[in-house]
Amino acid sequence: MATFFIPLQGTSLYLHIAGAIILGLLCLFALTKVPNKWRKPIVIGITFVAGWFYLVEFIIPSSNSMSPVRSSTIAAERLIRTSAHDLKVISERESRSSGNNDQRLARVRTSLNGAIIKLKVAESGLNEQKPIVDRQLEAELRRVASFKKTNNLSDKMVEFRELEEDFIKARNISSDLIITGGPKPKVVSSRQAKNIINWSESIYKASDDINEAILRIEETQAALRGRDADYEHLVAALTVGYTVTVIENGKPVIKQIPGATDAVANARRGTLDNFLTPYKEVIANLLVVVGSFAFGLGLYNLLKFHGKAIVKKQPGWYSGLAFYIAVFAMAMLGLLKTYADAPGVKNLTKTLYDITFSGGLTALQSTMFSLVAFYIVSAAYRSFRIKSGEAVIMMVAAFVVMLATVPVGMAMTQGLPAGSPFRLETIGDWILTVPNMAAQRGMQFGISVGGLAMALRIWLSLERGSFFDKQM
Amino acid sequence: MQHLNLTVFLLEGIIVFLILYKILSARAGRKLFIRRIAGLSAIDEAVGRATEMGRPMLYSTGINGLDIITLQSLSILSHIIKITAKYRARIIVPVGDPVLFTIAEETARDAYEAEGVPEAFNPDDIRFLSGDQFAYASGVVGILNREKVSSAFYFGAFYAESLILAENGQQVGAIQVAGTPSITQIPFFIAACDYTIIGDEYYAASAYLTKEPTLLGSLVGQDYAKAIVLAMIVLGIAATTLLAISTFPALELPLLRFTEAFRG
Amino acid sequence: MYILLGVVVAIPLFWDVVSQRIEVTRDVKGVYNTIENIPQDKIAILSIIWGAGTSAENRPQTQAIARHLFSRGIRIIVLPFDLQGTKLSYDAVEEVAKDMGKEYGKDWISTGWRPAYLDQIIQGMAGDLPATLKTDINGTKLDNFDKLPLMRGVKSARDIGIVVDFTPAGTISSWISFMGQTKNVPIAFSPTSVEVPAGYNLLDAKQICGMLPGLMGAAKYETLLNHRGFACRSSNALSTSHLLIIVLIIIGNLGYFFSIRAKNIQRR
Repeated sequence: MATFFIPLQGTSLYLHIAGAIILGLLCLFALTKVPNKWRKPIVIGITFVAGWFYLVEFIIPSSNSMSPVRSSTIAAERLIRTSAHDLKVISERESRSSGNNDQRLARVRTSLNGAIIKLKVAESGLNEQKPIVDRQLEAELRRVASFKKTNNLSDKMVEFRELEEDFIKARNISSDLIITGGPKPKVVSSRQAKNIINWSESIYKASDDINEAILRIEETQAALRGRDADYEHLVAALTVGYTVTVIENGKPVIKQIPGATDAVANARRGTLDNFLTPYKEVIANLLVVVGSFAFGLGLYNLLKFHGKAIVKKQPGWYSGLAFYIAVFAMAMLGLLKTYADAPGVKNLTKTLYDITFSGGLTALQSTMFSLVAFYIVSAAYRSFRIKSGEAVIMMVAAFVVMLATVPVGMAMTQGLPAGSPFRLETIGDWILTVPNMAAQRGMQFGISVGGLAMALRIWLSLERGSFFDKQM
Repeated sequence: MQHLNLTVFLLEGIIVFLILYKILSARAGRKLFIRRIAGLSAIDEAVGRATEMGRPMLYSTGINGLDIITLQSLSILSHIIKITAKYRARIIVPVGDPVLFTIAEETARDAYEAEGVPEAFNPDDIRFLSGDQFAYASGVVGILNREKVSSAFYFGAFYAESLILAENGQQVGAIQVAGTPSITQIPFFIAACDYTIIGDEYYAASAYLTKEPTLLGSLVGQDYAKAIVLAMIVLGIAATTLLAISTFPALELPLLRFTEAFRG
Repeated sequence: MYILLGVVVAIPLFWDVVSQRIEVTRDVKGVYNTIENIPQDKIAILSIIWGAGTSAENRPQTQAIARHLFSRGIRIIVLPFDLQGTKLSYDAVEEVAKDMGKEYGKDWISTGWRPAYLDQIIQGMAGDLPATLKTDINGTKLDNFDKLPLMRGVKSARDIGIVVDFTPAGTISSWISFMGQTKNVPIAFSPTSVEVPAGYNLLDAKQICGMLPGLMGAAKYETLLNHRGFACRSSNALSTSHLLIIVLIIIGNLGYFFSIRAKNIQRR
């Protein structure tokens, strides 16, 4: 049976789900039959492969055809950044009226020329890819047309038509479409069709980015040939870009002009997909499915625990009763609100749902969080004692930051001139952005390295303790 | 490569190599030192207190699902349960994620079996409360007050509910030990708990408690990695400062390359 | 003590008598300036991680940012990852939209609840936004341009002008990793007050364009917009509660010193 890019639905969808469940159960059964000595190596192997996927997808480069694009854009970006740095130094020196800038200007011109050469190499690499991807698109379009004709679909299937529109849009991006005789169109899955569209768009957009970067460099070169170059503007043009306001339809509109390095980086990042990238979506969907099943397990545990408390009339059994009433009431209300057809029932359940969810649950959640405010007061009153020099410093810093963030604190020093370093909000800002940030960064480095080490141990099955070294 | 550049790739490689090298050398028999961590040393005291008072303990794994932080929390839970099993005390473990609940139950059962008292394991003491942050917090607060716990352990990822849990534990008179890599919650735990494990002491906890050579070796490797990061910081500061004040064009390009090396 | 706190917070909320000047800091200005410079053809994404618990802080932030974006004519996609936050954020943005004469489907949409697998969803959105999010809160497909004309021309990260993450948790790192650093999309951080200290690292490293620190951040933003909303009115309550805490700490320490002094005298 041909599997096309039409999403599964109806009988075939349920058959696929049933097949997946049966396959999963067979795998579990097979695992129980495996001899003991092989179980641990199998689990270790599966753990390694699962971790390997994301790591390898993250690291390995895209195909060899993109290699000249990648290396050229990296070299071009380096040359542009060197030029931007030189222009920045020139700008600073000119403002101080010091130093001779001729040598540096010459270096800027050489770097920019070199960057344009590299970008043209990248552009030609992309131009080689365009006909290939255009042919793939055209083949898909022919297959779509043939499938429609064979199955007499016409306008029946909405998703089919939407995907066809994507193809036509993608084809229209290309400027010189090559239609060849080509091999006989083969059946492909929906994911491959989407990948062809995405890859086509990446190639063309990367090409646009490179052209944008070349434009910025040429603008900079033209400006440097003149007498009064605005070096700060040129640095922005080469790096982060700038905004201009243009009049469109009589209204001022802000346009973002991308910087050369940003455009080059975008071009490179847009063409980094490798052969594993299309499967990331599959893995992501698997995680969502597993998480959804796990929710059922958690609910079962709660029902069992509270059910036992009610049946055995244990102390606090009424909490269990409240749990059952709440769970089933909310579940019924939610389902009826969504699926009930009779207007009377639908309106009633919507009202009750709004009362219980928006009125009850939301209010309760807000109340719980507001308890934090009260607990902060009691914790501060109980535990903040000046027992040492460090405690004094901590207390002063706490007072300053607390006052600096509220209007009454700002009002205390508003008599001082604006920008004065003795204003409470300035001191508070300094405390938060200098010592606080330094301490947070130091702790974050330690935590991140610790997390990396633990992830490494789990991935390579070196972790010890709890269930990691138990017998399978 | 997606977002790694060559410099970060090499740095990661060196860090991974150091960690693995230290793990292997620890396994080969090399003795490694780990300093005393007050909070973890207090665990025995907390369990003993619970046994004397005849009241249960509480262990909260935070509200995150199954990730590195909660796996570390489960390692610590396993150790605590082994001590608990020796003293025949009771420990309640409220969990905030259904996937984690099954693993926590398995961990607790294995810990009791390892101590030779599988009959002491009560599955009702491992409870899934709710995935919602404040529903979980209110559930834990209810347990703290109803069961009048004598000792409370908070190890995992916490957010705004940390102070709610810790203050209620304080009000019932429990001795509290907390450890979290969530930097923003550490001040709340310090204010309300008796002992707090800060920063990467959390990840050192399993090595400290078990004295397992693999874990100790990994800890030493982490310290080397931190030394490398520190060296890169110092070099980066020096390079950026020199670049700003330098008047030698020949020196500028190498410095510029170095400071640009970490850019993505 | 608790009653005192309740009174001290409630009075300024009910009697809005004092309108104090609020100084705007550079972190808030960073967000403002970024939104001021967004091109009209790009969209803004409001990532909603908050629920009822933190709505007191995050709701005014959401409304302040939405107001600014609407005033600039920037289209908004509200992307909730919290079940309660779905309805709460919808109501919040709808209130502002009605006030400013903006239409659902044309000027803003909400995509409805998504399970909180942020990394996967963000990576998918960066490549193909309509295919990842698929439908809006009413079940309308995102590529139905008749009902949702806002989505015309919106395909990937290139079409996103800013992402504002309203969160009580540490989700900003996912947005920075998969949208900010790799796709060059400006990211703004709008946390509850508890998460604010961690945001300064990101601000200094220019991984975020700016930050709205808690309820005061929303108040500062309303000041920039010349709109006195709930956040500005609540800033008085914040002032009184902070003063109360400072007074209680001083009283506690005075009591501590006197008790030590009494013990020393007794010992002698």
